[in-house]
Amino acid sequence: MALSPKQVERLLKMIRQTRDAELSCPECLDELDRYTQRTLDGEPIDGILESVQAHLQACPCCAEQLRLVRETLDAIDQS
Amino acid sequence: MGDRRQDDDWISDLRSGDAARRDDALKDLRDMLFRGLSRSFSPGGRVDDAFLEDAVQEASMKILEKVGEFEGRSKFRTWAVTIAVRTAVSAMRRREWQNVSLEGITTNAGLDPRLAVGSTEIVDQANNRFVMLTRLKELIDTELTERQRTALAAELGGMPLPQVADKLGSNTNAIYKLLHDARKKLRRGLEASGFTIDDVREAWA
Repeated sequence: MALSPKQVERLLKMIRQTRDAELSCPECLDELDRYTQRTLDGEPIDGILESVQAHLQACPCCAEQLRLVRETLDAIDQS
Repeated sequence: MGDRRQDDDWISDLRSGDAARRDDALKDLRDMLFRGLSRSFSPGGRVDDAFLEDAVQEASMKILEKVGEFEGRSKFRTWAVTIAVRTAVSAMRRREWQNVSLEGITTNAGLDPRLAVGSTEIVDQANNRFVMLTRLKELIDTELTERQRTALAAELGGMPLPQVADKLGSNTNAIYKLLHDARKKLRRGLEASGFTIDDVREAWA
């Protein structure tokens, strides 16, 4: 089974977003609470959190976790 | 007190030497996490209450173990929810992918440059895409290792990296590095062949 057009599009996007220095998924997730708090408080994203943001834009798995953290916090607030 | 505790209260209650006070805080923590996770995870129908109860129990134990290390870099609730989501997502992905073989999603997962022809009606654009995809295929075939090709095909097949790592007998950090090195090789290979990042962007716009 050859790669589908959608997979090829994703591969090209991954190549485009590749940086020489990147955080791995575990490194990104270790900082996710701090990143989430900064964004909730409307504070600037700087230092290592810039690398977290870049990782989240390129990694659907970690981006899904950020979405779930935000939704879980919202659900707790509303309950 | 429920989950309206302030950060300092959560920390002191969960660290308390008074077992009743600590257990009361732990119960409130479990209730809060279950309430939140059941709303955020359930809509997709991927998990049920029993699954979430197990995940919340496991996460609560992790939080209790780590509460001494809490540095206040985020609010306690944000920290605790992040641990709970990470625990639940790991368990959910393990369960969803446990019966999927690596071979099943990576065998013959090659790049066919002819895809470019059917992807646009503009002849020049199709030709440019064909040339770039042909070069990309050559780079994948010649510059990447077999392990890199397998991990890349699995990632493009939607398999989360912890599961790719598990099936390759490695760990997530090492697989991330393997794939990062592969992407860098492909990017540099395309650039060395005269394709800029803008070309890559516009080729599949």
